[in-house]
Amino acid sequence: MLIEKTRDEVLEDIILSLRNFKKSFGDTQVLQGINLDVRRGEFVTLLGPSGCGKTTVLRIIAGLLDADEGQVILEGNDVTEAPPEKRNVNTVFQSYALFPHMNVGANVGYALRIRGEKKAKIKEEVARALSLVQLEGYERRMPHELSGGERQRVAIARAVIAKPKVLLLDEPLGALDLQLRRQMQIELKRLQRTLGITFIYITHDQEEALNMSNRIAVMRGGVFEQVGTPAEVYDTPRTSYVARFVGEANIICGKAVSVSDGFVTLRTDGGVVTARDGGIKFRAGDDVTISVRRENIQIIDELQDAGLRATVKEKNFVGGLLRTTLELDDGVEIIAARCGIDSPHVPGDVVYVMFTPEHAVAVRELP
Amino acid sequence: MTSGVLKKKKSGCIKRENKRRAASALLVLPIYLFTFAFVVGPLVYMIILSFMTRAEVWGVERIFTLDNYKNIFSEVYFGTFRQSLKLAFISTLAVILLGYPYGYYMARTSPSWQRRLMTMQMIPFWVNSLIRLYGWIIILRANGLLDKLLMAIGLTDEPLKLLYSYPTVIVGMVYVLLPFMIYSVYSSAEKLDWSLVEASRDLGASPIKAFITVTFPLTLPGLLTGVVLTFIPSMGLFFIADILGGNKVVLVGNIIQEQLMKVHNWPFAAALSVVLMILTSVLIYIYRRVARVEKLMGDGAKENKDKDKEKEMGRGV
Repeated sequence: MLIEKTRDEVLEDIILSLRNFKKSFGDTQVLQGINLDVRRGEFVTLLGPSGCGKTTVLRIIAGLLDADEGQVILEGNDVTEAPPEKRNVNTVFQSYALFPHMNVGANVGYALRIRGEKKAKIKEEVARALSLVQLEGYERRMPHELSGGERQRVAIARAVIAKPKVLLLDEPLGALDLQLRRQMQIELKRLQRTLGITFIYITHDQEEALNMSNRIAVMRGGVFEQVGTPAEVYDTPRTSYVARFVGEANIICGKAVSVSDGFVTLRTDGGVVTARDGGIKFRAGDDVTISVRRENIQIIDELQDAGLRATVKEKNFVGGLLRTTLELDDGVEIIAARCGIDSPHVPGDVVYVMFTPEHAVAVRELP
Repeated sequence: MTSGVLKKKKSGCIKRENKRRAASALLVLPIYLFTFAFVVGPLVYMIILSFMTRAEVWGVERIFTLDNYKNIFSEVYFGTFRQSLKLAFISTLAVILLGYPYGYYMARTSPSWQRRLMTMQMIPFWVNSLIRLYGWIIILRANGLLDKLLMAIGLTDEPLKLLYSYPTVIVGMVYVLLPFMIYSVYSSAEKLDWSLVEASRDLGASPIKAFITVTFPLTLPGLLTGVVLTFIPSMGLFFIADILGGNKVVLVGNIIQEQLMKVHNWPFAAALSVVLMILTSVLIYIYRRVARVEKLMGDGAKENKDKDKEKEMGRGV
């Protein structure tokens, strides 16, 4: 949940704040009220599926696109109307956008050359920026002579050479293969710590977001559904959408039976379970939706004090985890994951699904 | 024994391969025949002709001479070459100034406007260019449309002698050749990756600096194509100089036409053509040298992308 900016937050070293952005393309409203405060040195990720408007947010911050409404405030200055060249913000483009007619050195030094810096200084800074991304001595190569990963690094070096206040990264690892991605994730994180520059990072990959960010803003349909630390977003998703998108949680629906000090007990067709209330005030009889992570689901043969009856549908062994797909009595599919290669259950077995109340949390069901 | 079988099979393969090659050679033969009959043949004929002597009354005598070429460098004809080059240069410059912004804007505007702008360029092409040039006569002649208009609004008192002047020939050249520049620039500007311009703005370049450092260098190949398509014809489009220039403006094309059709000095006309051809070949050579550099960047990028994929896949394994 986002708060209006207060005087206290100015003291908290807010470097960038987005206030109530709105943007429409024709009849489609792409952004409907984006608010975000970013602290100096923070690594904030905008996470969402393609088409949710995350690139639009980035383009508005960069000044490449005008918002219909709202403000961009950079270090206390309203830069909403400023052209891109007047903002101390640089972008790493998804396509890298390296200038094909310039060599690596000219690409990286572009910002300084435009600014009219001395040649010797540019040369020195370029060398420093290239060593930062581990491409020492690449100055004379042309972009088309580089591999995808190298181009990526050049794009980063080019964007950080002018020491921007905020670095915007638009799915920078999207075009790389998995192995290179993992490696670049670590390097980007290291780079961010070294430079101390604030990063705003876009991705649709939840693993990447959880791995790299200080905070994640989960985006859907032009709004932030939740903004929080990776742990908050993962452990206490605010909406069923966030729960599903980040870590593909199981979603179970039922009616509240009783409420007690932070917990809610609900009845489903298959039985009764208890979960944390996630800060939502429930009354008996309300509809309740809860989210449970796959790794927190236990499968037992005999019903104990709480649990849901289910039928085993399928078992797969994926990435070191045994994934059991179950179907609850009301037809809802549940996936349980645990380490190890096998379990005694076979498809068709009737079992009980249970989890400790602390591992389940009630979420909002947004349209 | 087995090796014998293999050999047999192999030779069979070679035979089949040869057959296929022969068949495909047969298929492309017409193209070669056509090119030879209509391009190489006449060209060689023209070059040979340029070294022959003009017959007293009609035709050519087979006596080798260099006089035709010497003639070209006489003051009269050499002056014409200079004038042609100057006119071509000015026309090309005017075409660049008008055509580049038009083509560039056409590539950047919305698809519906793109269609409109393109149609505006296309419609004149449906009318024969000679007829269109006569249209210019109606507008520019003494007491023509333009004169009447200018006098009506009181800007001038008497008819301006606009027709049959050097600037009018340039207007005609620009008018005829402008579309070639527009399309060349358009095709180049349309391919321009706009995110490059955004990147340059993002890195601190003002719109003008972004244009100079990114947009212009990357649309230069189109501009150069347009220059070749404008400069070369503008040396030879004799009918424009004929119709709009009266006999005041004489271009190389005019002399060639005159020597061929009126004076019947074919060897001299041939020699003039050869020199013109050499001149344009030099121009095309320069263009290709420049354009090759550009092309290397464009195509090379694509090729390398594929290579990278392999590289990275290899690394992944």
